[in-house]
Amino acid sequence: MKKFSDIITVAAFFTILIMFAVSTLFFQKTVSFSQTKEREGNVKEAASEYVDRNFPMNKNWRSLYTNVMVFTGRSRFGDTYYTNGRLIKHLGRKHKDNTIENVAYVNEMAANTDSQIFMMLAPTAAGVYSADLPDFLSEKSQRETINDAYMQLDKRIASIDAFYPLYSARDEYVFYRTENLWTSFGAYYAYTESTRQLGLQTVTLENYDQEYAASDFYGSLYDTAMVGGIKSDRINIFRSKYQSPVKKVEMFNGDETKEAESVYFRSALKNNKKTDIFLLGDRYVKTDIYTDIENAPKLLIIKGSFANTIVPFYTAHYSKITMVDPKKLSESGLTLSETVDLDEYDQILVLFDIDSFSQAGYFKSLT
Amino acid sequence: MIGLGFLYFFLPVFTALYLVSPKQIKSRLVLLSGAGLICYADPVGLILMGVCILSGYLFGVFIHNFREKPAGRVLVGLSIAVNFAAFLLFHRTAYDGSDLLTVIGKQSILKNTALVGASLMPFHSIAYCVDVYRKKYVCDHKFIRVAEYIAFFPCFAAGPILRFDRVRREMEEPKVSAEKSAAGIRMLMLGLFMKLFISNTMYELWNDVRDIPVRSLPALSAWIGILAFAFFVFFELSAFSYMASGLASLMGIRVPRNFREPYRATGFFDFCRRFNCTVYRWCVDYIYRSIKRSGEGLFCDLLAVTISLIVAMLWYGFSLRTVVFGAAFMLMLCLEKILKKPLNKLPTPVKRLLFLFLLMVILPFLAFSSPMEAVQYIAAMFGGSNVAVDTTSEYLFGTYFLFVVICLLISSGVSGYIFKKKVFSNEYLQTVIQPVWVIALLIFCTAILVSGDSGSYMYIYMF
Repeated sequence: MKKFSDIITVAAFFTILIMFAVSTLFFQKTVSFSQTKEREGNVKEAASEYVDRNFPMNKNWRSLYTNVMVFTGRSRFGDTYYTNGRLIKHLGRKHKDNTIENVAYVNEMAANTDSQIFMMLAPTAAGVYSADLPDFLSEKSQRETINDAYMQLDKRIASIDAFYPLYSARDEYVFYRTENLWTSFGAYYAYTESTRQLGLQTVTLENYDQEYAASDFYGSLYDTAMVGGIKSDRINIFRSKYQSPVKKVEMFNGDETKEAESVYFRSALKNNKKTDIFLLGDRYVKTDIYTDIENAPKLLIIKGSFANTIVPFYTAHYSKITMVDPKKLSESGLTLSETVDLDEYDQILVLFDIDSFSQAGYFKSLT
Repeated sequence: MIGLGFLYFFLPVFTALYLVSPKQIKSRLVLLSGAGLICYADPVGLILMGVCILSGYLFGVFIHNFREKPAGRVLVGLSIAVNFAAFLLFHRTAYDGSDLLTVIGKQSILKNTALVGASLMPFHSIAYCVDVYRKKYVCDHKFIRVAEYIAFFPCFAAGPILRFDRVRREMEEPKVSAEKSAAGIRMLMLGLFMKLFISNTMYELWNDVRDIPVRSLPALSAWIGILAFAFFVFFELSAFSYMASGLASLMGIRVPRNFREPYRATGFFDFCRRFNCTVYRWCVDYIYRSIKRSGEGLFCDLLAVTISLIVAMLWYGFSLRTVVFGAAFMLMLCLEKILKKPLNKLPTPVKRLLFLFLLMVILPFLAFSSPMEAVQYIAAMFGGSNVAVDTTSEYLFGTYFLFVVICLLISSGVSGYIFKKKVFSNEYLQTVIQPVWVIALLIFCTAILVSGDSGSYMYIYMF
């Protein structure tokens, strides 16, 4: 009887191992070995990455792991926390903090132009829902970090408080549950706050038709923690009830250029990163949006990921909006002055979420 | 060493090749696999492997030939010097890669190397040469046999340290059977489960506590943290030992148990005998007894214990923390020796609790790189922050409660008792449960490996 049990154990164990090994090598085509080798650079890392990515039923394994862990009481998965039906990315205590250094670069940029300059450092879900996270995660709150950054700003740069409006609306759908981004609603609250400072007349929500572009969206945080009970996100876009002011959108990334007639790119809904519906996410160094509003001012946005969702609201006020991504600038070896003429713009808005801003090491490209 | 590649590719391929290989090829296969693993981690490790194997084999032969003459003594001294020098040069901590040179403030010669087997091969080589000199057995003239013993890859990670005379016969005539294979798979999966599910979680819990500034660390959180660190140390090392036993058993070779419920020890001497026993036995046999043979008296006693302890602590890695913790441990051993009579009068449960309490108090010296930080942490354990409990303690307790209970059950021996006496003693029940248990562990470990959550905590078994 014992021998029988032993034989069954050995046979079942190795059958499973061989089954999955064969399937990984011959039947899964998530990535090819040459792709992983190109990305990782060496064979050792590439082989490990190849096996990890091509392992059969990858999502089921991840889901099983997360759900067992949630059952045992765990709420943390790497830097992602599962709390109150949402996933929140938290940098923790030990992240590098370049806030002061980056503010200095922004100040230096301001010294090179006569245009009005504004800065909006938006909180992330970790800041707005900080009460749902363990206290020990950070020494200072996002609100304090944002205020500290604003205190260091040059007098010429006006700060825009996005924390308060988002915090006040925290019971609404202002952040995605599975992506580290604000929703169109969250962006709208920040927009209404910014219009006062920018000297604009707020366009109220009654002037927009709300459209559900996607209702089955699971963001990148969900890849880290596939918690079974979490609801999918929906992506809302706001379309003007009247004719859209956007005439043309031009995007540049090195030699690659792209033209469109809308700030919404529905083709992105076919991909995993559905939030790229807003101006295709962070793929381009520079994006020019031309509107048919004549004699309106021009706006330059030095952007982080959060900017794409808010830009559609600004199209009602400017004749031209240019977005420049300093990260892509840095990757391309370019500087801001080589990419745009600052004096062409009436207003310049630096718009980042505080996590990205404090971690960024690419702001030198602004000077 | 742990990953999907190891479990799903290396393991079945190696086992199949080992099974179909003729007897004389098996040893070569083991040696080749060991070299492959070292090369995978860092090819520099092959130098250490070469030095240990060659010195072990050649010195073994020479010592055998000259063991009746004074030259034998010189040769055994040389073999110890060569292997120990290799150990000092190549062994390092997995935490920060520090080695002997960095501990004494110099720049490390070998940068960024995580050498596999550096804690095992020199110890095997020294044990072999000394045993030949002591006429415990005659040297083996088959190079491949000695090489297989010295570089026995299943024990690379964290032992157990083997004795040549005990494994020689099984290495010569490995008898693979369904019973040994099933037991091997069971131990392998149990080790993997301990590493991925328990040890990594305890390390995370410890990291959570360590990240809190000591000045605001509540006493309860500090105790939870150090308890987590204690569990992490135990489960990390015992997990690798289980995996080593499992792999060896798949090859038809039995290796000794390395852990005997160490947290049930009644004192620090008892703890040494229970925690990583093979390292303890090695230090006793080859250091303590060697020194004791050359002299009597308290000084000799003290010297023998001190040197044994230093070597044992170095085995866990070269860093200031191991040195300081070793000193604290030594102090506890001395106190235990001095207070032997009154301590013996205490009931066993009280002795166990007292030992655990004292161990927890000195463990911060192993947990922190700086002794000052450790002292501050110990102060926090006794209310240094003037806060006993706060929301952080509640969070830690709520989140990790189940894991701590599992750790307590396993380390206290309760779960082992239930499985051995109640479940696996019943043949019919065992027939059903064993395969289900193994497959369940395989599924769960695969889920953790695929999720990649444990990726950053893979090689932290040395301090």
